[in-house]
Amino acid sequence: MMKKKIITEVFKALKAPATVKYPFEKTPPPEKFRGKPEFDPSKCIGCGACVQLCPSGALSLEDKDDVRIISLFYGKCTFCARCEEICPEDGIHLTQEYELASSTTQEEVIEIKFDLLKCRNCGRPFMTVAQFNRGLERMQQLLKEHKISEDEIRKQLELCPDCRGKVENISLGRKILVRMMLNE
Amino acid sequence: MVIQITLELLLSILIYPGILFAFIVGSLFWWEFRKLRARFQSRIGPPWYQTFADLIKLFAKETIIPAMANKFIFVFAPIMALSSALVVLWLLPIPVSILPSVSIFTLSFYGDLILIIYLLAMIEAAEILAGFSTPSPYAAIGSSRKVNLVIAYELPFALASIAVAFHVSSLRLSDIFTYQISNGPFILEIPSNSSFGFLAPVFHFITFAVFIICVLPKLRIKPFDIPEAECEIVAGPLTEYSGCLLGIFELANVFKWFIIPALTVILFFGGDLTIITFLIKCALVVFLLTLLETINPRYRIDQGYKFYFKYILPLAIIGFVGETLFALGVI
Amino acid sequence: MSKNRSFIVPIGPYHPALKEAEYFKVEVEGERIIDADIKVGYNHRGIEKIAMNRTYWRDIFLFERVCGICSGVHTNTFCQTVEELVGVEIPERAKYLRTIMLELERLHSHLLWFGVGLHIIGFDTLFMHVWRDREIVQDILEMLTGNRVNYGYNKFGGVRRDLSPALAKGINEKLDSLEKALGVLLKELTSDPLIFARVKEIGILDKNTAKKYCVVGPTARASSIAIDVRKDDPYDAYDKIEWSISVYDSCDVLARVLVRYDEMVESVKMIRQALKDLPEGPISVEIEEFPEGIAMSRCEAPRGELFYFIKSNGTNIPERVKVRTPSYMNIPSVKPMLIDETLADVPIILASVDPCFACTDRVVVIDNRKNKEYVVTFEKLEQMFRRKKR
Repeated sequence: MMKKKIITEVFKALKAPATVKYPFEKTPPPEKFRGKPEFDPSKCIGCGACVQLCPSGALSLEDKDDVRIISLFYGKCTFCARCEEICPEDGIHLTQEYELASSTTQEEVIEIKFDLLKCRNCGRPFMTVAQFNRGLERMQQLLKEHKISEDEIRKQLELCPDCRGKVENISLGRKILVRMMLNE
Repeated sequence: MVIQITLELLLSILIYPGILFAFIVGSLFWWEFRKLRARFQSRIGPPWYQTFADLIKLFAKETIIPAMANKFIFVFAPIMALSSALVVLWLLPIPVSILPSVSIFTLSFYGDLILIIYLLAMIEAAEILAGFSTPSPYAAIGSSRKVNLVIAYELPFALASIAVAFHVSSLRLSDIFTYQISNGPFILEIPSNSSFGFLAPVFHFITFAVFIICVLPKLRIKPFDIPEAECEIVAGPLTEYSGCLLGIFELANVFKWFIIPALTVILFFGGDLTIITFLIKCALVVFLLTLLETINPRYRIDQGYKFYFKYILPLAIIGFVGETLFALGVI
Repeated sequence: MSKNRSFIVPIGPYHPALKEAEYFKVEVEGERIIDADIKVGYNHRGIEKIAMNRTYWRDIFLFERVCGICSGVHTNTFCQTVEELVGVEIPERAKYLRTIMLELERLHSHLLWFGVGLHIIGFDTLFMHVWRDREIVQDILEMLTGNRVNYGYNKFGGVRRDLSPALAKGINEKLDSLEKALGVLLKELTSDPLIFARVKEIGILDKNTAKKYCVVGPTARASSIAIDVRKDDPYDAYDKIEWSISVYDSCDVLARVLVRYDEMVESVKMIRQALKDLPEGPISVEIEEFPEGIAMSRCEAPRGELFYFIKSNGTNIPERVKVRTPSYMNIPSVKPMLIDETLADVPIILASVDPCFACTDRVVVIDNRKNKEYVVTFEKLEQMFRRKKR
């Protein structure tokens, strides 16, 4: 018969609709769905790599009064997951939340704050404390190998990039380097 | 005594089974159509109060009359449509009691079947006028398509409706209704004074099929909702209407959704003694109309009226001739 | 003589028949079209200019958003062009994964088009059913890339996410239900004479006119021009998978419908093949710098040939990126299709070339009183709006 197929299809569709009564019934997204990004304060070190890489400028960084504030504005976020890719510490990851509508822009900003480390020489803040400590953590094996005390290395490393390069500040660094070369 | 009769009459016209009852039932039938259509399409569909909400919204909106429209016709057309619908409503014989009894409400008079056919066409004419009264190209095209279509389907519609009247020998709807109370629904009737009587239901079915297909354009059901084809001409004749005037047109449409299933049941499946069985039969007619809408795309206007002239009009003539021959006892 | 009797119907820029803003001015006599005028614009969001101020990496996500339906193929072509500029070859596994994503995109785009086309001829039921079945493809894309649109799947040198065997199994299962749905769709389409009445011998574009207008994609293949970038200039894994193109020569809307249906069936087969033959290995290579030079590349988008051209000056910001989308070639070809057709067929003819672009446009006011027409600019419209009295 001419229309038999569509008539059977139409009665089959009567059984259950293909839509759900959202928002009373929800369907969870699959895993690895790219939803709202969230900071992990225990892991993020405030290095700012995600800020440099964000294609839409949703992540921004501000250094003010010895405090670094990294803020993420969902209104601009495109959920591309580049920040998650580049983060060295798994400090930002994309969750599965997608219901992000809000009535004010203030609700759509999340921030994370870090204390900044001041240069021993000039007093200018240049790096977050967390990033510095993490860097030191990664160096522990090397330091133990060459028997360099943490105190010593801190004196050398807690200098801002400008002061680190100045001639009057490199003597300590040279001593440590000579000791490392003699050890080998 | 006179006051009591007038009061009763007024109550019947306005409340039950008059305007209020028809309004509520018409809205619910329209909702049944939309909900069933949605379910057939794997969607959920609107809630039961959707028609009421739509009408309330329309009446609350601003009415804009285009500067270059013919203001008199622009305002008169919806009123014409609504008043025609109301008159048809009051002429229909409806069984009013909940328990089986032969009390039917009707203001029927001799020849009212012709008047009903004419007034139903008048509602369509009101829409055509509405389209031509504005300078919008969409409305003009919609109205011209509607004129084409009305010419095509009104004749088979009239032939199919009147065929029933021959069996009862009366053009009065209430006579047709009471005849079916004693003789059973028309569509299954076998005339007793004929040797080929068993063939009669075939002609009854042909007439019924023609009637249903001619009713589709009136209710804007695919495949014949051509004048209102939203994909091509925005909203057809009613493009420039908004607010209260559009609300009046849609109110007339709500009444149509009561009148046309009721008319189908009265003419072909009649003989009801209670309002409940009457409404159930009307709901089944709406189901059939929904099914026809769901399985069809839309015709183009030239294909539409060619279809009516090539297939439906001959069928209508065949059905009409057969019915008359049976009714006159020739066969 | 015809000027006095003819009647101008504006279709667009704001019209229920069109999904994006386009402008067609159609001159009719009764219901028969005697002339058509098309104003074609570009994706005038100034994307090419924006791309000149951003680094290459940020530009991937910019070009993803040129089009919502075919976003994957835009990033694919862009990354391919940059890879050609740098002179690097992506690993085999990445090629197969890119092919899978592209064919999934073709599936979802054609299913969307089917729904829109059916809605235009008035068949709402099939429209809803086709879009319900399109959700299967969207679910697969969500499992594979993490999002239903704007997949963010490509990067310079390969792809960003891998495909696990469990995911491949899940995809195969969903493809089974999709194949069944496609079979049902074919039966429903061919068993309905009303659909044929609306699309057969409508909107004819014969072969020579098609060549003159330089149409691409399914529009060309439906006018018996056998061109397909995947066969003529293979990229990704298209030269390693067995598949065939479909060419029809009836040159009408029905041919375009059938070409797209055949492409959908082929896509399902291709995805299955690619999943089976997926080689092991890395999914990307690193790209360090962008040397000076020019590069161009093309891909077969669901609508035709998509072409990218990049000029680099050695920095990490491109000097010029030029995009030529397939719809730019297909839309002007609507004009010969429209002449001598009826007004009722205009939407389906427009939809049959699958137009996909957003453009800024203006409003035409046909002033019957003064018997002239003029174009209203945006400033004037603002003024009129502000001066409106209640």
